[in-house]
Amino acid sequence: MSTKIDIGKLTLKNPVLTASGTFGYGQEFESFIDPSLLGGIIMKGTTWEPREGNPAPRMAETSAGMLNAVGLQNKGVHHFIDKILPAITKYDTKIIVNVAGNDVADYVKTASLLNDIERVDAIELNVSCPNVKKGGIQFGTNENLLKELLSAVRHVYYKTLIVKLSPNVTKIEDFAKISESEGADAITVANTFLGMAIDINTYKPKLSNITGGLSGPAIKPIIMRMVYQCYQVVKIPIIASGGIMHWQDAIEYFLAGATAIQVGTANFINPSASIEILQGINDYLDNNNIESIKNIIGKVKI
Amino acid sequence: MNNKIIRTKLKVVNNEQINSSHFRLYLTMPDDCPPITPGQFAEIYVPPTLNSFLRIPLSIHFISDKKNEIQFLIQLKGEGTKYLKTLKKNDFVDIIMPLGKGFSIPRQRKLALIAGGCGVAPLLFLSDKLYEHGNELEIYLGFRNHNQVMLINEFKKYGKLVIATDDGSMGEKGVITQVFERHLDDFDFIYACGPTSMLQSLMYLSEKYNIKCEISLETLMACGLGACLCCAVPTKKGNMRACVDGPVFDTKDLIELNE
Repeated sequence: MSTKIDIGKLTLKNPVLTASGTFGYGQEFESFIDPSLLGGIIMKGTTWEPREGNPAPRMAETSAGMLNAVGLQNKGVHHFIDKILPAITKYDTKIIVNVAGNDVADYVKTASLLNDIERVDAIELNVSCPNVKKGGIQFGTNENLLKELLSAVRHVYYKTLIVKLSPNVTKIEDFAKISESEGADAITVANTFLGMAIDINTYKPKLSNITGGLSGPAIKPIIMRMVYQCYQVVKIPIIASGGIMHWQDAIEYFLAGATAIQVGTANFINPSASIEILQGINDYLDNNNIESIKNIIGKVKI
Repeated sequence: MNNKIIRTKLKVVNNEQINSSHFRLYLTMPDDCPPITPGQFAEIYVPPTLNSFLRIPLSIHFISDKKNEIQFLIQLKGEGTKYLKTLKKNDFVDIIMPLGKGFSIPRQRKLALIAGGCGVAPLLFLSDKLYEHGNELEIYLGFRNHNQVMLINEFKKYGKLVIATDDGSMGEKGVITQVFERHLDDFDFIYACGPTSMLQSLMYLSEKYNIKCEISLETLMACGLGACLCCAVPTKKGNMRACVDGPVFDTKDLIELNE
């Protein structure tokens, strides 16, 4: 039984990753799990310059999910390389940095710098953050901007390049195709849905940013449909991210066409969720005599 | 991480109704529990409902080493706390603790503790520890009216206790910060927990009278572990996380409190 999968130039020991912004840098979860057991960990969204993010409140609970409007708070890529990376190189897993920026030049500078950092195995280009005024989602919802950005980043980044797509588009397949044709090694489907919640007593939005990104099991069927649609049109691996709480959700995504999955919001409720999901996948393969996880990718019977 | 955190299932020993909107949950202490500082909190799992999804962060109300018990004072607010209210003896609770940074514990000082409403929750354990360290305590508790007043007997054994109600139906009349200012003495420290407006007033008072002040902030949280950055608190050093850099903050580090 094998859980090994390939993403670009990388071979991951298993298809379970943790979603950017939900797992910190791995250290925050050391009391509960050993990050080395995972296929990879995706770092908090990282920008060239430090960012303070949005004012509070940044979070609101919703039905089967939550809204967040953190707004890419991070101390910048140099702080990541100098202060955080040395503490996590010990993890025997792939380290993937989620990269965001204000403009193309910003993304290019950060990607180019990370290209030379040996311990960073891949970057996940964040073209889909719904909570920042500049950059983020504008690249993921405009085909020409996405093309321009990917072409520029591909020029300076030679390692595995993943594009985290926005689900806030009419046809996500078009953005998947652009990612593939511009040389991306994989796509993550997808970031959060733009949402909103209002306090009926104060008449105020529950988030300071007015809108925020919806995550959690509430979005799973929509992301499932998007993974399926993307699988029909691209050959590069799809990494599914959207409301995975249990191993069954992960298997469903593999059948829809995902090569790997990201556990996100579930980490907040069950800090061992990623490892429990991995265990569930292993047991599923064993119990059904499936030799390799690769054998079920995209095998939904239509 | 510096602090050791455990996730465990704890048995319910008792679930006690305090008044119409508050109850106290008593759980057995885990054998492998790391040391807990007053002001630290726990994340308690509640089964998801249509409107609640995440764990509930609750400050640690009291620890009885003698009875091997940990207590939580809980305000009925939403579906999660409603569920906790239904727990009975011998039920189990999935809990992650201890989380965050607690209050500092000096020795042999003169201290004021101030709470509003459910803000009394972390101050009982704090009073116990401060008392144990030879401090002289004055405790100021403010409530909306006499029906909401709680835990008088618990608090009064630690020092001078002043109760205030907004409508004057019990104790002194007025908001607790005004009552406190009337009694203001040569305190070395102020400790507080309560509504944002109360904490904001205390920030001004501590600055005006130059008294060191630590407050416990209540913010919306998702992970409680420092990962998601949802519980941002604006400070002079930039946005900090209530869940690991707090929930207790020195007021001199804070800017303005979020309503």
